[in-house]
Amino acid sequence: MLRRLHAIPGLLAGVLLVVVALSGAMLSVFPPLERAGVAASDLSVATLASRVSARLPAVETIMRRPSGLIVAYHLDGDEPRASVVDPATGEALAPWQPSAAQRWLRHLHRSLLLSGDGGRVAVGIAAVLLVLIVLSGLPLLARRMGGWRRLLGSVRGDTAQRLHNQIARAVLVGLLLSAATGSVMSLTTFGLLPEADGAETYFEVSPRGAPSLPLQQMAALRGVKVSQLRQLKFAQAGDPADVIELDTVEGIGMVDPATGVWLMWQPMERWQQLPAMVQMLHTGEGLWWLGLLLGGTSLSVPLLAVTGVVLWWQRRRRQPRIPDNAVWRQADTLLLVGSEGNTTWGFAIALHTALVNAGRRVHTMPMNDIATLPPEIRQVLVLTATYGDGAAPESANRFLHRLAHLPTPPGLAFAVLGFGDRQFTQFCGYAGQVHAALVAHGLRALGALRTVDRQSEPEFRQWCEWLGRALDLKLDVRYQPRLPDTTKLALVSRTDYGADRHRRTAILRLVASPPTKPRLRGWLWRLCQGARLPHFETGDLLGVVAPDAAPRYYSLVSASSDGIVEICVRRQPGGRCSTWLTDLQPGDTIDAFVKSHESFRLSRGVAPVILIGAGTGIGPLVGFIRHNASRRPMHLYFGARSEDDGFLYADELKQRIHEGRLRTLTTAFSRATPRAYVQDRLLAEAPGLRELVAQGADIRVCGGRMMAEGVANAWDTILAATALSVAQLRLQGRYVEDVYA
Amino acid sequence: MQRLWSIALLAAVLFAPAAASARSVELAVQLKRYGGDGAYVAVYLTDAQGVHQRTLWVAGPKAKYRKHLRDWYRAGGSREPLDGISGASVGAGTTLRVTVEVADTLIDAGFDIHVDTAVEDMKENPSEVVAPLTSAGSGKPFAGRGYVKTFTYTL
Repeated sequence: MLRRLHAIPGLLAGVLLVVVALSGAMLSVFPPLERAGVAASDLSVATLASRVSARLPAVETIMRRPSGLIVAYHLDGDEPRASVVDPATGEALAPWQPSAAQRWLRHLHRSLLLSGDGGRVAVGIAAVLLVLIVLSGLPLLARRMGGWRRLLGSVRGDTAQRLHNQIARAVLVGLLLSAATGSVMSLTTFGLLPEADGAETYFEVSPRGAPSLPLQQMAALRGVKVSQLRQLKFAQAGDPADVIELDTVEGIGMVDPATGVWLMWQPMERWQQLPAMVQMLHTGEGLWWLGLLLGGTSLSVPLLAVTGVVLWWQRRRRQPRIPDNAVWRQADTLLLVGSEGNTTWGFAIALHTALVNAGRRVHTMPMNDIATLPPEIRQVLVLTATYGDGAAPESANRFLHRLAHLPTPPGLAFAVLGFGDRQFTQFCGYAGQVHAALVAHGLRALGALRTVDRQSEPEFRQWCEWLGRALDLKLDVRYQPRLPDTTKLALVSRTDYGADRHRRTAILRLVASPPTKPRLRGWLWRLCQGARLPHFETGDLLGVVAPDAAPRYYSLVSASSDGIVEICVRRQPGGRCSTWLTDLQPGDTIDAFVKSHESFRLSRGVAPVILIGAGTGIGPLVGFIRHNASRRPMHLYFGARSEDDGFLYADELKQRIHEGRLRTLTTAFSRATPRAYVQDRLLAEAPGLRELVAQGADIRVCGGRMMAEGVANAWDTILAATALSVAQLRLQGRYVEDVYA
Repeated sequence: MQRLWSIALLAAVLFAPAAASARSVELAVQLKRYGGDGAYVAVYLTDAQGVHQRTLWVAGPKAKYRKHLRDWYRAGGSREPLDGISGASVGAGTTLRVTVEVADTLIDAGFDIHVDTAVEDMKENPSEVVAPLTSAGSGKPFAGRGYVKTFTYTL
């Protein structure tokens, strides 16, 4: 809902906002420019008026512009003229005229250069929409950052996400001020907001009509500082009934030229000053530095608009299309999907279609989107994957929190099907949590939790048959494995480790095939996520689709900026994908896609990094070290079989230490004597590691499940003496694992 | 004495029989090339003492800017019903031409036509033209002290 409130106004008003913001930014330059020519002065209006009228006897009016510039309107013969005057001497310095460029920009900014009200209305609506965009964006930002308290933390995500959120965070207040004051000004223009009605009462004043006192001696004018002045109209010579009219920041008044005292003074109430205040805040006229600041924030609008549209488009692309999705309000069955890499959606769509064909009104959506239940709800079905070892997948990571606040009719029936990988200890751990939470929330389980191992189609069918019996429906499920769009990659080179041909490990380097010219089209493709390999960073996953096999995921060593795709593959006996990959020869091609693994990426900053890996798990860790241009302290703990077997990247690591990109390298060889594992090395260096954690170190663990468990246990031992634990570090995003079976 | 005279006249205007004839008056306000945005212009009638009688025309669409037509605004001109006697602002160097109805009784009776002008970011010109509404003045150009080059009314 919030996201829609953010995206729809943005899409509607995007182009318009870019025009208005850019013209506003350019306009913000004028007040400081004008002010640059103004010397501060502490004169009284009496002194200024007498100096000016001494030099320009035919002066009619003196205006003080918000910048402080003094402009005198006088007659030159019969021709009226306007001149900038020097308050120190009263001398006319230069003719004055509003800048044509400023006027043109202002027309563009206010009314898009259209005569009539159309342009003004459009700009006004855009301003109100911008208020809405900023106000809805703030909670979205907080949600993305993981809470209001972490609003200032580092932003994670891909380029578009980082740009959008970082810029938005910096300019939020400025944009809100510009948009809100702009909206108020527009609403008053159209009479939709009452204006402080300055309807001045008509005053019958009768000046004495005697010859005029010298201006310098007029008490009323001596009491007003030039800094308060807006406009002073002189009495017309030869008209004894005319008076001096004074318009100041604090009020308006009339002065008898014969006596120099006030004939009338009407102070301006606070609320009457409000419109002028709003205008000053919006234009920076009279508050040039704020104007310049707001102008600067407006420059961000084009970037925010473009990245915003890109994010919206990415999101749309990622959201699977569900055929015949029932309108939420009319749904009798909710199908909730928890998915990380979209594979679960394929199963969900198959089930959805079967249920619809069996006559159900099914609404299918991500688990995170649940807020309330449809009025005619009969069953809730949950298909969810588990991320890593028991964690929630991306589209379900807020589900349990939301469920706690979800009003549910008593006895509402539900069923959960978990998708996972049996090699993890917490097989379908998250699905289990969801099942238990639904029971605890008072829902009635149609049956026990069932699971699907590694996208096994037969297991899925069995569950569907069971579901059909439970709901008394005839379900005809047709499952089509759903894969992201793949890209063809060609193998460029490979480095093999290990003597045994059947257990060897290989580092594969691939490029998009045919190779794209880097740079030239790179950024555009990246932005559009077109047919080429999309943007990826070290630690993201490469999904490889071997012939007639389900996709397998490999951690990426390189980032897309390297122009190459690099992965480490260990040949698994009987593993279809790994044997196929390790048999590839340069020139051979594969089909692959990228799955981002945002949480595994390193936070920005200078805090130390502790990298722990074993076997092919070294891959992304080497990538982090390779990209450590800022030379932040990185410490690598690496486990392999022996110095000669499986010590991947040995030469490169030595080189990296030499370059200062890697601070320390600690190895543990399990086939050496005495045999050692990385967790042993960690425990041996406990005090030093505690110190690094106290300095805010990030910890990344990559490798097999057994190793990851051992390492986590070792860390709990290491941290036992401190106030921290692995669980807490995990919550803070500082302890992240990339674990495979 | 003059005041009494004008009150009597005003009464005559107000209580004149419905048949009292009105005349079309063509107003033409030609502006100088003053080098600024479009001008707000108010054309209105006062008695000889300068007491506001009625608005003839207001050029300038946005009510919130009309306060800069200072004499007219101060006299309460903005509170009159302005439907049918208001329009767009007048660009520099162009001429505003409108035709309004004026009661016969107001002509040659000591009433004045005033013109107030205002331009954004520039000086306001209250009563920059004050022209007596007489048969003799018809078709004669009056110069303004501000943005008005000439003001002409044709009876």
